[in-house]
Amino acid sequence: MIKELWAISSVKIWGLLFVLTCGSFLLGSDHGLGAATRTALCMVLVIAVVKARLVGSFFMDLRRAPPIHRNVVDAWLLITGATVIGMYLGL
Amino acid sequence: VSSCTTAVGTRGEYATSQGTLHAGLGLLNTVVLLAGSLFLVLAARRVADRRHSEASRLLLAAVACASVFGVVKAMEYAALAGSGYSIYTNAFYMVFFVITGAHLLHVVVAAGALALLRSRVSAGLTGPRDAALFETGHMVDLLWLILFSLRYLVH
Repeated sequence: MIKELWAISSVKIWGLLFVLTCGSFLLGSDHGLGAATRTALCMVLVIAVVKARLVGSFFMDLRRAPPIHRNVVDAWLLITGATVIGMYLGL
Repeated sequence: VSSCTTAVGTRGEYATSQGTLHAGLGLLNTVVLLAGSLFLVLAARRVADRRHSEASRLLLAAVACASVFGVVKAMEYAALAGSGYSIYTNAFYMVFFVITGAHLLHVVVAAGALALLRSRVSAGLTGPRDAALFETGHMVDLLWLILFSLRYLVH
């Protein structure tokens, strides 16, 4: 059953998303392992954008969508991601 | 500048306020929504393979994930309200309650729509427009991934 499930690519993507989520939790919050340094905060935000893109590409099937759809979503993620990270670094 | 600082609060105040959130519950809810998203993907595959009753069961699992998300969120709100925090406390709580509340509303609407879709899925009566409802489910997951990081993890 588990072997069967693991053969499905979206289950592997889910595993990756799970690992990234736990990783960003440990990196980001003061409840986690380390001190919340600036680098750690940037990594948390980059991971958030990467996770959003994984969901878009593999769960919402954007990888099979016309390029215009993919480009619009990528531009949105890039612009909002860069703006938020820029604001955190600037403040 | 000083009025601006009063309006948005200080970094210290933000960090202290964030400290009152239960990041573990945020993490739990992230995993729950991700699981819901995976069930939706698997349901869409079953629909494409014309295995309708399995698709309907997977849809139910996705709706169950959304319900768990809602219950956990309600527990979080209740705990915060019990400790005396509200949208009037400061800018952090106002943004937290408004943004996560708006997100929760979308989760409820998406889950309700998917629950209503179940009978048609099990009857094999899905059309291209139903795919948009699946995407709505993924969208609330995607947005939560960003919100969780912003509201719970970084300050």
